[in-house]
Amino acid sequence: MQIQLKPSEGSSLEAGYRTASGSERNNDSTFECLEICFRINICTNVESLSRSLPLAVLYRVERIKMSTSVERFDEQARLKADRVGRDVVHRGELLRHPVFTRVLHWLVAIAFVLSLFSGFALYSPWLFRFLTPVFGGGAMTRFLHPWFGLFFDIFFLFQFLNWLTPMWWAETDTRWLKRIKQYTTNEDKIEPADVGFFNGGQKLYFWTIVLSGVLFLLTGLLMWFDHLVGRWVIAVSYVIHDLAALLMLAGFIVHIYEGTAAMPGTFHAMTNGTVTEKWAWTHHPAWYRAVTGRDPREAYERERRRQAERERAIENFEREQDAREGARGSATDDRALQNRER
Amino acid sequence: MSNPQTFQIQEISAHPGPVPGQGTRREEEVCKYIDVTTCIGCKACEVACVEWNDHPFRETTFDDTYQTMPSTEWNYWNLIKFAEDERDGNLMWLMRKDQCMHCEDPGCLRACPADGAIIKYENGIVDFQQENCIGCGYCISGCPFDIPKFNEKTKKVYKCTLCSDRVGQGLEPACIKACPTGCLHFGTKSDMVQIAGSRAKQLREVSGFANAGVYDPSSIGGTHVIYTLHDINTPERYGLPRNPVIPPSYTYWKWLAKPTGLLMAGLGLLAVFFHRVSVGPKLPQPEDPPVVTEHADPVEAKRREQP
Repeated sequence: MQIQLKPSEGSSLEAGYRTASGSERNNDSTFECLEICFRINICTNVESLSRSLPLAVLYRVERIKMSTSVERFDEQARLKADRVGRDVVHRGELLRHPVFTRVLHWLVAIAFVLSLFSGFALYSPWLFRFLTPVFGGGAMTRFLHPWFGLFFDIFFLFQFLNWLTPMWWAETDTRWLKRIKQYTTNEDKIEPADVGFFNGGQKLYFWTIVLSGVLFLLTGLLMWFDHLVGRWVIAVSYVIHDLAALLMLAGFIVHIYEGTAAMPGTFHAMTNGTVTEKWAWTHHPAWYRAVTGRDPREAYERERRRQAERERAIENFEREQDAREGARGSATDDRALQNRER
Repeated sequence: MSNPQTFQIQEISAHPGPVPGQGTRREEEVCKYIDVTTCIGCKACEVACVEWNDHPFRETTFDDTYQTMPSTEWNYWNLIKFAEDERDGNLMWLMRKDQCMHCEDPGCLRACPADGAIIKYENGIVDFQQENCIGCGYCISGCPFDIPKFNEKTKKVYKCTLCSDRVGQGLEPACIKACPTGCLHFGTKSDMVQIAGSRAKQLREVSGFANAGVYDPSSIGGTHVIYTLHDINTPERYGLPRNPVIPPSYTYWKWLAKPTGLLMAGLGLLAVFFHRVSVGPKLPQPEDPPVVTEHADPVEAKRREQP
């Protein structure tokens, strides 16, 4: 892995995924709000891929093909987003998602939620009555649903290009999936050291969306332009469309839960774009190592020691305070006694 | 309006013998019977349909046949299909009046996702309620006879109503009234099946059509429009499917898998909720304040103390 230190202006011109850290010099108080961008030229995940030659060739071909108009457009959008939006990284935080990624994520999310609920209205007779009025009646729901879906697919295409490299499947993700039981039962307080920017579960969800997105688009277009195809094509498309939706819904429920209630501090990554260093070494140790250059385990141990010291210091301080207050308390009691005597 | 059955006399005082008319029942199911063997292709039924339903005249398509247009349209519900068929070296000119078949198990109704857009009456008529139609076109793919047609302008689907407005007033459908040869009949389902059967028998025994029979496909529970065909074994020659079926996606998938999917989604929501309650969140490590004791619950501690 090549890590290049660069000022933020230059790095956004380059293709590939960027991560940044504002915590390189935590001790330096003047360093707040400054960001350093790391450009990861070759992802570790991709390197492991190159072991199988045909896949590697295919990957290269795809990279070359993508470096055409779509990617140029994608780059321009990224540049504009960076110019308009801001990533403020406070002390003790790391930049996880730059502004372009965040905007894209929420565009995808809004389009998906609209598609989901308008789709649910058409999916089930039990939900039809509840959900169609929200979109302005049954006919309006029917009219809007394909457009919501189309926007979802367009926005997600950009997210796909944006995240293709960090989402590339690697051996570490297969190992992660094998430990899913320990993950869900919170047996592992800290993730294994090889968990990078995205863990296996996140990658699985990403590729589920890719698959569902393609299925949605294909079957959706067939149902949208139903007069062009036979009735059996529609009947089959309809089932595939539903299956893709159910598959994605399952991932969606888990995604929202993991992003909010299950992992405090994660939601911040999609609003302000930053996470705490603690969060990073707990949930994505390899990424922490990549952006800070420090060992996540050591950082954790150091923080634990510091916390213990802090606790001890507070306890000492409180004990002293109690003793001082006790002394003063007895003194005031004496004075009260003297007053009464007088 | 009261049900005619209500004032059927049940008992009569001091009346010897059975009550007159006892046990009579009005048969609810209606049926249109089309005898294709006596159709002359005059298209009077087409005109009657357009007139009664107040449809505008639309352009016809000439494609080297006598047929008015290739298929029924959203405002042209009744179409005689002309097929030139060669049989035993002779030419047969088959004329079949094409319209909604008013299936006992309607594919359009099974496929429809909109509440109240398609209804089926007790008498077997399947009727579209355009004010509830959302224009998704699922009914088109659900129909084995390619009958519902989409109107691009109103974004609604239309089809033959079996003149439910006329039938409701005790009249026969407009096409029946217009037919000059008497090849169109209208009445109760059992009567029509009987007439169709006897005509088929006549064709087999007298007219030399050994395979003549009645088209009333059982794969969709029968239809409320039935035909007598010269050859029941080859309904394709008349443009009728041999074994009309509704796609399983509108039957099994819709009524079994869909509720199951919804239930699973609901259970998924419950699962993550109770995961949060029981297992709890994954906090950034080290947690602050650090965990002091595993069981800080005083009630639980007291319970454990007691023998």
